[in-house]
Amino acid sequence: MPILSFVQEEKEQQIFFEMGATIREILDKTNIMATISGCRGNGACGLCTVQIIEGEVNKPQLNEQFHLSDDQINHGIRLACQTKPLENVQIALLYYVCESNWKRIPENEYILDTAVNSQPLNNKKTENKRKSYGVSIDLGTTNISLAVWELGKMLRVTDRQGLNGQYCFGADVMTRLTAACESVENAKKIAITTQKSIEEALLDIAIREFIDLEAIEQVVIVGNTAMLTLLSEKNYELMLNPECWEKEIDCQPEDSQNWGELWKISPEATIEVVQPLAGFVGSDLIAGILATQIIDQLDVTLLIDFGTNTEIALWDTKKLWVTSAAGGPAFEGGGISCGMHAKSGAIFKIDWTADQPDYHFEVIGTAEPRGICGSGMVDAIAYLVEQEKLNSNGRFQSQVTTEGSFILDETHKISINNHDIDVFQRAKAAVATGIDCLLDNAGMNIANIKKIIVCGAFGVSLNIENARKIGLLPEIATQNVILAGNTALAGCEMLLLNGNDKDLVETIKSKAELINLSNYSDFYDVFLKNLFLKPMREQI
Amino acid sequence: MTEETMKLLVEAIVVGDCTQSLDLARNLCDSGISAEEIVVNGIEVAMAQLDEKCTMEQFNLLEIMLTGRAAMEVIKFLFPSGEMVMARKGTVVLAVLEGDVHDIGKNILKMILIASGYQVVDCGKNCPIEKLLDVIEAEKPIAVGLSGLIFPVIPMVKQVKERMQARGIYGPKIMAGGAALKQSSKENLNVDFLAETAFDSVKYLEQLAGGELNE
Repeated sequence: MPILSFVQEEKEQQIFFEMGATIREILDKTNIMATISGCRGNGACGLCTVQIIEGEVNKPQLNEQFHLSDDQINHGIRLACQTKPLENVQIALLYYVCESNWKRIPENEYILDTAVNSQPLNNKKTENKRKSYGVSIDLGTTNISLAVWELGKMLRVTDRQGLNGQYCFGADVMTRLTAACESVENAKKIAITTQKSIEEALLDIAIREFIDLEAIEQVVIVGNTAMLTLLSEKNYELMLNPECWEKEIDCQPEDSQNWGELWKISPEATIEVVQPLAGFVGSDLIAGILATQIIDQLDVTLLIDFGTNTEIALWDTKKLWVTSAAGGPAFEGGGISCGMHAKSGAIFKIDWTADQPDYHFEVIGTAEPRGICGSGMVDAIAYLVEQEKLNSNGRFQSQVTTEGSFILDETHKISINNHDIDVFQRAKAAVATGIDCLLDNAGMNIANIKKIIVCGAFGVSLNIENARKIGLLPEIATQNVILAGNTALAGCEMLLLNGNDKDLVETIKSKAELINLSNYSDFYDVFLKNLFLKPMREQI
Repeated sequence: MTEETMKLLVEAIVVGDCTQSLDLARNLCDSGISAEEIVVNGIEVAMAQLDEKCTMEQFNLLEIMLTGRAAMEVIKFLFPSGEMVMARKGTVVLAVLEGDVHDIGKNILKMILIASGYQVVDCGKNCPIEKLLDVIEAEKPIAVGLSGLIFPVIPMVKQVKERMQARGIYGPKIMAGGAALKQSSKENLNVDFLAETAFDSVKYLEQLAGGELNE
């Protein structure tokens, strides 16, 4: 594939591209977010000027001649949205744009098609008349994801994903809730931080996609219950009381009008927070259930949304059994010595052949490996167990380690130690115990499960076979496991497009049966059984 | 001969092999070894070895749980009535206080304490302070162990000593441990000892018994 290269903020960037794409489209495909625009990329605004330094491109288009002088064109200056490289091309960006904190959601993390979402995602031919937009927001502990829809045309305009600014109040939910409970001022600060993160994302969309924020008429927000209570500054203190985890918790904001003013959206806009099922089951899970249509399935289906708190739902074809397992942040690379989020530089995939001790790994992005993310850990552990370098208790054979660590990549000093394995074992045992607990409650066993839906970014690059080998997923044929990506956002979009139809949510609520894992009488024994790095079996 | 069997029993408990451990314990009993001896020379030695094995970076929850389970099975076999005739080292009361429902840490400490010769009274998880104080009053333990995985339980832990003294109980030392608590300090928590691992608590109790910490 040909390469487009340029320098941005003193960094050399290289992007592979398919022939036929414009420079803007090539830039937009990456997460560099190097484009600027005052229009939808139809050559109308003339802002996205670039200089072609080397390489052949298509001839200047009519609308470029309108914005650029002959002299400029002779010096290789062009509009990024109109110029198609015909070979390797080196360019210089003639506008200044800093790297955004808000990125497009990678396509592979957004797999589910909502029924109405059959149109192309980026329709650039639409006119810029007064339109009305709707925004869906999935408020996560770590990330916030948004999607903007043009409501009249049922057209998905764009999406964004970025960090929830609340991380400065603690990485985990408990720490943030405790901080909020310390004082009303703290709680206010925490709420405003998230409101500002959303503002920042909307502004990014406004600037880069030329969307008039005042035309946003509807906002629908889903999230885990803790995040919703912190956003609405309401009932967050209940979240620290385990007795409330099974109860409904009101997260309806008293005054969402303030948020609208901050976000500079239409003063008439409706802002709705989709109410969670209970303390430990947020409306993000409701949205996920909606998007995956799990309660319409005729077969027994298991839904797992991996995270620090992994939500698990079992549809037994009549009832939806729901629980949440607090296994810690291992699936997001947390608590692991060389662990990291699934970001550029993360080892996310490891391949090997069964009869050879060699392996090779793949890294996200073009960067040098910096660490290992959750899906990389799954592969690494499956590899180590299969090669008998690690026993199913989670202990290394002494000859394979150097100073207690297995060296995965000597050059980049990436290794895995016993503690890392221990942390991962606990996380996966918590999830497996959640699954066993739901099965027990439904009077079923693992063999009854016909289909598994795995949600969340962790699931996207998950190797299903490896996950099965170490007991992270039940043993079920690979084709019956669906890696569904960000289902919470997809479900939230369905709610937005249905005018936040209460019936959709009510149907799910009426079928849901909440199970508190800490009341599971067999917890200790089942947890112990699930700590082994072995395939999940029916009770030993 | 029995010495050899005792060694094998220690090994079997350390690797967490329940069946093997029970077989060996049965053999020892059959050859006339007393339950007390099996506890002191078998189970307690195994616990000491596990302690060595579990330095911070080598810690593996599964292995500890397996060893604990094997030790408990042997104890159950030796004392089928459930009566720990030989809680010769005194009583320890354990609890996970109100606001926290994570009790694996406490359960592990419980196994290690029992296997090390202590009588344990377990107040369970999400335990109100009043209930804990009632138990302390009735059992007169040498120490109270408080385990906490999540931060919100900290304010509860802080109250225990004062409220205990308000009831006129001064004897028992208070030990704390667990993911959230061990990030604090013993001064902040107002406890007598803050344990990094379950084994630290055992060592602390042994020092108590040796009189090293008595004011």
